[in-house]
Amino acid sequence: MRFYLESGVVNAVENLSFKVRTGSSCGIVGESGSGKTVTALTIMGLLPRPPGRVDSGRILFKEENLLEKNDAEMRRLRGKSISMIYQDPMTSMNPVLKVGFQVAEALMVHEKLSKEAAESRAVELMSTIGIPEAEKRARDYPHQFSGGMRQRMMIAMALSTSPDLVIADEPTTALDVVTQAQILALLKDLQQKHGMTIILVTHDVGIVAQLCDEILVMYAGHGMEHGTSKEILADAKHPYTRGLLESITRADREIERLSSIPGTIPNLVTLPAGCRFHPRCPLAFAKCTIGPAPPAFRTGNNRFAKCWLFEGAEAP
Amino acid sequence: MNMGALIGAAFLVILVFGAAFASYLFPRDPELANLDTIRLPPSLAHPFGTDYLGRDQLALITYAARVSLIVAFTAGVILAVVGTMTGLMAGYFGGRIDGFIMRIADVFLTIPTLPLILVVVMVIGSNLVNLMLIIGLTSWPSMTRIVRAETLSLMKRDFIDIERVMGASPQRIIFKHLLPNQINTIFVYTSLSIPVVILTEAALEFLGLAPLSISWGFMLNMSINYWITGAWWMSFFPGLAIFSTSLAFYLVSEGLKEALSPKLKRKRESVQIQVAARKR
Repeated sequence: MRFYLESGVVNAVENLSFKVRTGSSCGIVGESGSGKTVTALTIMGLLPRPPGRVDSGRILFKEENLLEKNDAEMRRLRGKSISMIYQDPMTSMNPVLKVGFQVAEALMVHEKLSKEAAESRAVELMSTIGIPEAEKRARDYPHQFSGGMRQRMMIAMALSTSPDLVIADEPTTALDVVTQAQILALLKDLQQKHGMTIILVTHDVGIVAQLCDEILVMYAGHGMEHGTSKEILADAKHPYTRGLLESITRADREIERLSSIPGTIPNLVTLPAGCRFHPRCPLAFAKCTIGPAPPAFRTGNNRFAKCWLFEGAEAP
Repeated sequence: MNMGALIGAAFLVILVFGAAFASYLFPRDPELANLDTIRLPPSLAHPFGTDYLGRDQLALITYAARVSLIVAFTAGVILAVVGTMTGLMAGYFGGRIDGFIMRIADVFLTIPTLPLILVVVMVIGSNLVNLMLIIGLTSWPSMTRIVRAETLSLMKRDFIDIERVMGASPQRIIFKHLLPNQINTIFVYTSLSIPVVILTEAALEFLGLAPLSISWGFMLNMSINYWITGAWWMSFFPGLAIFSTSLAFYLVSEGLKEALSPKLKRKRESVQIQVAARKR
């Protein structure tokens, strides 16, 4: 996935290949600029096509390639089979419309329910999701709710059509930790109840630990490591993932100095040769700096890492 | 509350009332000539004096108010509808549609309005219906610009993205989301355009291009011939009517703008809170 700009071509996402099992939750983790949001938006087909372009690849959803669908077909899918939850609940709602109407809208658009029927379903959803006195509050406007409440309503909106896949782009970044915990618990609960597949995009490893079965670590547009969250959190293989995990503060250990990965992400227009992480990698060696980026190597059952350190293993 | 807006609103209420009930207030046909009472200055019997045919000017002006109000209202509605539609489409779709609409708008904006209207009127004729259409259809571009600008800024907001994420159709986004956020602006701008409509209409009548028998502008037209006789009231009162009506609409729309503006509202609310606190 590249952006063709006048100032150059931005290689936003390259050689990314992963599968998400139905009913599981996959967390896409990475720094800002790693390409995680671009990946999410590409799946939804929401990136502006000039200047963005998917140069090669397929996105398979229920056996169909999403990239081959036209606008009208994607519109039918979006909101109905694939939903997305945005980051900032404060600006996600239309300030001049009542919240009951907004939560009900997905139902009106996709299931063709009448306004009354959709709004009463919406009220049910709102109370399931934890909004007290939902019936009365459905007639209120967004500014009368707190951020946590608004995010719950966004989740209600996303889930109203019982989608197969929910993509959540940093859903709790704009919220305080207490609300964050509540929202994550809610998402986990809903996922188990409805068997939805969740793709959670975030830079917060703690969230992924709490909610996700699998983790995909992205850096500078490449998928660096993939595996179950238990395995990766216990014993990450890729140097980048290890660096990320080590830079988290822990309550159970005494830490004198916070460790961080030196340097910054590369300019996506002028990328370094070889592995995109090598300028910052403490374990880099000669092979990392030349030639193409490393392909994926198996590091376990259903795990892979893109690092020359694991050369010799078979492809996953 | 805004003093000016209240005064303006009161004036307009009286005007509309007078115009609607003109035939009850002045039962006699105001156009009947009475050569006994030609060109009388203002007096108790004729508060606005009489014109060159001996007709009471107060009656004439009240009947003529109908024309001005009807043209103002309908031209305003046409202007609002066309301007809003074109502005929304230009803002939402962008690209060639935007370019097309804005080029047409530019044409109307660069050609001086009055000469343009004059030419059109001369070609199509000038009865009441034509007047309303013509004035409405030549004034929409300024509204288009404003609606387009607001649409463009609204499009950048998250909730519009989310509507797309949800799979909403363009019609839904335009009418159920973009439009409701702009109703304030549209309302205020329409009422601000009405004084111009009134003046344009009066100008057309004054120039003799719209021979509606009773109208303020036409009264002004005839009054010029009688200046040498010293009958100042023949020009003064129709002019005063045009002026006050325009001013009244302007004051009301300024009041509306202030009442609907969120920043000023917050300031007023905080002032009210402070006043209430001090009282306690």
